[in-house]
Amino acid sequence: MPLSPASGIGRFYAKSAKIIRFVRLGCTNRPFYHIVVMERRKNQHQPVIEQVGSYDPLPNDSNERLVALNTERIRHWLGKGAHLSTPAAELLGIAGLLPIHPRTYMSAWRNRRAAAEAEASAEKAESNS
Amino acid sequence: MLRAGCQVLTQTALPAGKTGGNSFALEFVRWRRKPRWLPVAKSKVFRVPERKKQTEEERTELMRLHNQYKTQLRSVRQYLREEVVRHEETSTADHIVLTPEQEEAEFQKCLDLNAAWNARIAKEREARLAKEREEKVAYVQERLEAKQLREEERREQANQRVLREIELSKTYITRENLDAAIEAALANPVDHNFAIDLDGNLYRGRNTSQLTEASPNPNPEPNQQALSN
Amino acid sequence: MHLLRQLRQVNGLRSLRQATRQVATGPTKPATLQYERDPQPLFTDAETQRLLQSMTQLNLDRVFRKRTVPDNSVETKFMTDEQLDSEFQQMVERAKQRLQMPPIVTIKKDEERIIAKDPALKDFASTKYVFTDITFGLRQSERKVVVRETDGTLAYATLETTKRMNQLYFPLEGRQSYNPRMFLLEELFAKCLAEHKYEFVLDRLLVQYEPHEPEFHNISARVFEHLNESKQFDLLRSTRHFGPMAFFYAWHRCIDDLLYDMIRRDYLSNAVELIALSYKIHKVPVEYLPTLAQLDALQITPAQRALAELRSVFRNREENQGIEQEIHTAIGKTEQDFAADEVSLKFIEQYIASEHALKKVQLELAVQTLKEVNREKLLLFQGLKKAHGVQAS
Repeated sequence: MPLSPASGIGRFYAKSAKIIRFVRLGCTNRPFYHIVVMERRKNQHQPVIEQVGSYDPLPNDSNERLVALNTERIRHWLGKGAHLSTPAAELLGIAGLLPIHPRTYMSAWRNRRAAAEAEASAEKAESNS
Repeated sequence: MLRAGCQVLTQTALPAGKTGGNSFALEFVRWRRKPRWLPVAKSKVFRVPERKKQTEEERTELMRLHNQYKTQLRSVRQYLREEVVRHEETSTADHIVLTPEQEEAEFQKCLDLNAAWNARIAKEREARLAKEREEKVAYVQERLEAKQLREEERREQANQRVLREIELSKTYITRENLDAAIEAALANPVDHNFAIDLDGNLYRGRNTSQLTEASPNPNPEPNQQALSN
Repeated sequence: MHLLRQLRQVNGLRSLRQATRQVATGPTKPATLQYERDPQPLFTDAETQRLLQSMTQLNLDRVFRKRTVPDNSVETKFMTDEQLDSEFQQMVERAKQRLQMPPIVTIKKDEERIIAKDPALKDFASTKYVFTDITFGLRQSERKVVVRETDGTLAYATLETTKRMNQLYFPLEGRQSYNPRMFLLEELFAKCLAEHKYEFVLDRLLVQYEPHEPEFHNISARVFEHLNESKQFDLLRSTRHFGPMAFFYAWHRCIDDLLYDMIRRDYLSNAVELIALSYKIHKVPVEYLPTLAQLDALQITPAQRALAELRSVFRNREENQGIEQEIHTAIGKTEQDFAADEVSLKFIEQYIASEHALKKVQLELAVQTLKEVNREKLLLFQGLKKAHGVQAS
């Protein structure tokens, strides 16, 4: 399916449920996401109402993940009552646009715990040898 | 997807014993995923997927965080909704907003324009009406003149008729000269009868005395002419 | 999973090393001369701008010369005299626009602006996140770029990151997302300078860097220093870089070579302006305004001169200017020019005599030569006038 323009060609009903979510573009083993507004019931690869950003989950040369957000339009759509998918909500939380999502805290503490356990086991292995 | 091996094609050529019990090799090639109508594999029928355990502590913490998050998000949403409403009210993106003075000036301008337009139309109308009035006057005048002429003619004709009647009235038979008229009529009988021969000659009078009188001319021209006329 | 993370860390380390290498090699070696305080108010001052513009001059052939661009095509048109005249005026305006000088501003320092710190977010991801606001219709300078570090700090991005993100999402034509090798490698840069490709270097510098970046200051200073040694000032005349160059020399008190060049090429009023500029910058208590006013009264601005040159097409046809015009074209100077020269020579000699001039002997010699040439020309001028019987006004 060809890429629809960022201004969107998706048809929608005035009172249907809209959602801000990711659309996975890119190819195998190389994810790339568009952050879009579309009707909630639709498949992700259908024409969107509007593209409001992009997200590259793979770190670049300077080891950073790039996110572009059209904040003006996101605020507008949220104000219009658009829903948020969980990953999108997490990303917007990290960006400081919304409160930070609990999942982000959860992954943070799980990562910390895993790192601590790995360290402990490494120490134990060292002391044993 | 079903794919029969190449044995199917070569089967007829080979002796039946060489292919074994299986008449032909049947294999499934899955390009994507198992079709929905295929049953669960035998080895997986009694497998119950284990859920990841969540400690009580983590669960309560997440609950707390979620509650907090929902509250915060609700207030943010409320703020954004108000912002959108505010923006829609104050935005001049799709229409023009004027200050009261500008509006007044605009109205005044419209009034002036309207007045000028009215004046122009009035002038045109005046001209048109004047012309029409003139035309009407001329028409009426013409009709009046024509009527006068007609009246005069009629009077003339009536006059003439009266004059003629007066002229005629001299020969009227009245009570006074009735006797004289009768006497004159009796004295001069008039015969209106006539006869026509095959040549068309007209012979007036009941008596043929006239014929004899007119015999010297067997073909009286004038009578014949008169008849043919 | 663990292995993956380690791999990622190694990756990160490598890129970090790359970054440090880039900084270490930095764009070339630092220049010796730097602006020690903010030059912007002095540079954007109306009077300074006027002086610099006058010094730049306006040679239309140079401004509209063929460039190394894809389309250098020429359009030929038939025009009436009025159309031609208006076209001339527009052309001079366009030339003025092309000669707009890049501003000289102080180097912008990076300052850390933290929006939020959240220690509970530590290690939420393996790398940092960079968020760019791509709202429609914002200027590059007002676009917000924020970074969420892995330790949960949310802060505005550094200038370098901001520029990189701007170039990524809203690319400027001609600007590279990496440092061009020309500026990165010392030998390539030295080669450019040795071949006197000053204008090319400065043009590319202008496209690649913002005026408030240290690289901009550093490289432009190095180019100007090299130029001061090679004395090829004429290469930059009638380009947008001449003004900043003159300002640079005036600021760092090394105007003598440029002054010598100007005197030798008989641009005396420019020399006066240069001296006046240096007086103005260093607040030397010498009255230069009356001299400038005198010169202004006697001479026309470069733009006017260029326009007059263009309009000489019409004058030839009229044939009523007569003998004075012929004398002017034969000698190249009018009476007013001689008067202006006298005024400016006085001012220049005064400067040479003062303690500000460093290469006194050279300058004096140049002035002497010029004086002799001028005297000869003046004699010729008067002789011609007498011969043609034109009244000296």
